[in-house]
Amino acid sequence: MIRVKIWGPRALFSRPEMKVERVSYDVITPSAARGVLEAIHWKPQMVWRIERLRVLNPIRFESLRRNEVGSKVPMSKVASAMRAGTTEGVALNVDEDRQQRAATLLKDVAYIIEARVELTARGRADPSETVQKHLDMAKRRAAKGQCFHHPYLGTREFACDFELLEGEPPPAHDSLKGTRDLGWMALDLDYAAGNEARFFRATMVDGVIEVPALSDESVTG
Amino acid sequence: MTILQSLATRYERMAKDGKAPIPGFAPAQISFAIVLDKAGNVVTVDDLRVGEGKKLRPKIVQAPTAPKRTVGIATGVFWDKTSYVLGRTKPDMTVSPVKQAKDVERLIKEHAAFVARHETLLSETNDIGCFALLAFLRGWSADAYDALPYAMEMLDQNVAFRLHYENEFVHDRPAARAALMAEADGQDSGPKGMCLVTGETLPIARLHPSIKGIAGAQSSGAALVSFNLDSFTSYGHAQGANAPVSEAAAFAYATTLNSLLANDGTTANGRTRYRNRVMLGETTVAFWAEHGKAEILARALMGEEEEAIADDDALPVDETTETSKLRDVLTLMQDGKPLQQAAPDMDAASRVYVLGLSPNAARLSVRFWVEQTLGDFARHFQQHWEDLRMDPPPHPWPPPLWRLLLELAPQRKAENVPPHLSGEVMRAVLTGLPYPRALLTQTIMRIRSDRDEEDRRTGRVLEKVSDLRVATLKACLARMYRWKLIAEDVPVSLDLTTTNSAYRLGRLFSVLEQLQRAALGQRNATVRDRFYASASATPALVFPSLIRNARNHSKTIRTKVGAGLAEWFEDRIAEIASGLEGAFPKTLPMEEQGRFALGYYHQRDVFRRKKDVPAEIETAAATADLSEEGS
Repeated sequence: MIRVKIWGPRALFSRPEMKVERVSYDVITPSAARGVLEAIHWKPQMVWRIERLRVLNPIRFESLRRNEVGSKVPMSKVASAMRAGTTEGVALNVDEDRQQRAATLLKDVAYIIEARVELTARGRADPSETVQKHLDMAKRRAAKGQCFHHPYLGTREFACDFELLEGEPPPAHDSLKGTRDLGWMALDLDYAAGNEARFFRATMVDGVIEVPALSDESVTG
Repeated sequence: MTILQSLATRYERMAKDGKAPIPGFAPAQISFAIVLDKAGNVVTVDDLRVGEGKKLRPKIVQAPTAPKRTVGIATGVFWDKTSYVLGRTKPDMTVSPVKQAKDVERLIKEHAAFVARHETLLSETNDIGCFALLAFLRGWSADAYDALPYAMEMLDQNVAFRLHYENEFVHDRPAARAALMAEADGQDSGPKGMCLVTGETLPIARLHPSIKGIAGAQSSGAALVSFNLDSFTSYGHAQGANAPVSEAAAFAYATTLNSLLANDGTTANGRTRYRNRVMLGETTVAFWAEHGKAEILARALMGEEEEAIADDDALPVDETTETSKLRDVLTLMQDGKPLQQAAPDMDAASRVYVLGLSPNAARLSVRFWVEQTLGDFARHFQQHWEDLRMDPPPHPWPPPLWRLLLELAPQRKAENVPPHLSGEVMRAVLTGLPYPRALLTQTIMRIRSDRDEEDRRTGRVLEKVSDLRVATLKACLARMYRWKLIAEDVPVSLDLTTTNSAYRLGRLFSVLEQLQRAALGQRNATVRDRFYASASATPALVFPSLIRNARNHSKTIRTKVGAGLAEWFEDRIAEIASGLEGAFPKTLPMEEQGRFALGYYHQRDVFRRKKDVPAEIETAAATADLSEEGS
């Protein structure tokens, strides 16, 4: 198991129903935590399984508006550009497609992610691949502050710092004591089953959220 | 709980109390009711229209949702216009005979559609009401229309049915509802999936119902959950599939929110009353609680709508008796008594929800969302009041939030309240966290740039350094101190001992202003009008010349009124300056400018209340020679 502490001044873990005028979940979601770990270490032979999320700071919100765009570059345009061998026409003009969107986001967050490594089919096929190897690699990289891309808290704008946590995790803030029902939370996407989102009933007990496995029967979606 | 969940939960409560609309039903405009006997024969026709003389309007009743009609034939159920229900319409004589023939053809089809719809819907009914309707439709011929009462007036109006000797409409009968539900269930209503609100696998809503009653949004309503552009969708999902919410949950949350935002009759003085809504700047705030009692208290704490408070300094009170009891509760709470003592019959553990919404194009965005217990809710408001508390107390007391925000707006107009600020301030009040720093800077900016002016409507003077503005500054500082963001606490009443230079400078400035008034009387532009902004921001630039001028004013007083008053002023100036450690600071940061305002306010109050102040000041100011413009 690996423990990584992450923190940042702002975070935005969009709820799916409020992802247009964004409203964040109260805490980091497992898929966002996976994204952070993947920024530090990831190979096609392995996957990260988030086991536990620890919330350290009080949950505080703030809202702001940002300029974004309204459309996406269509897949078909990208495909034809690849065939033609030129990037002509593969562009979005921000000025012509501005969308102001509000966001209610989290302030001053700090979390501890507890996760383990599982091998994928590809990893299991290769005898030189072991869980321990990837775990050690990830730990070495996290300890040195290495990452493939900078990890972030929900959306790219909100980058976070990270460090490998050895020893016991620090206690949660007093305001997080007790049991809190966080509602249905996005667990992760089931990429095998048509990119469908999967949800779990998130409960926080004294700042700790136990994350079920994707295959767990309590997980629906 | 999430926003949608708590709204949906409230819907269940409304439904239990019989206050929630039924899925598939909507308000319909019905003009007439055909009264049938058990065999389906017409007994009579009831005129349901309301109003007088020519201004007769259809009655609004809850009825099965009207069909969406464009050009095709789509029939309603249990009610519709006469062309569908009875096969008669007013023929349009102005069009060509060919078109007229087509119209007749269409009329027959329309009526046939109505009959056919009920044949399928009620085929298995054994309810006498539904059976009577079915029997009526089977036996009805359009030729019999002219024999009906109100035949002329009824033409092309909406008609519904009623069974003789019974009050309810046929569509209100349980059997009719059951038939409609069975029909809805039988339809293939879109793909099923896990509902994010309930967690059950149910048909997923593709489009969510719109929310009405948000200020500034489209009048037809805006959506809280929508995916109206490509970039809002993920992984190839379309519309509602991006966030699976069941049809039932979508209906429930939208219905609840709409009812929270809707007005609830009018008050005694004719203003529209909103039970669960307040406006803060451009943000529409809906609030609700688990229990009705808690909701009443929440409403009182949030503050009534703008201008609902007639006498301006009283607590928000409406005509209902429950409020008079509440007044005692609020008075106790203002004294800092915890909720359990102030209102022992309220359940402090029941939850209160506050949702701030503002429009953004066709969408609604959530400005803030706070869920907490009634106990915490009350405690946070008490904390807020405590932070605002000054001696003398600001007016009105306790100030409703919108009043505080109004002080931040140019011309004190609600539409000028900085949009972002209202939400952040509300959030700070509700959670007890530090107020946004923008509140401090915005208040100081308003004090600096406004002039004293008269409110055209009420004739009251709107001061630039107003009670509520200073109270706001004081609250910002008090809370910063509590959160250990600044080192020094702020005084509630005049503090003669503090050596804080900003506070002392504020006091000094007030004394200098009074000195000028005593020497020169009421001028067009006083020291305050001309120098307040620079005195509070850059004291070293302004105070030396102000002191020089003070000597001149002192001299004037000495010759005109006497040495006593002049010396009194000189003593005050010396006493305040003695705590300044010699030099005037070059600049004051925002926090210190707040203290400056507080010092000014406290010292000014000494003059206003005329306590420990020579009586000659007033007479001197009144008799001062206005012709001499000395500055």
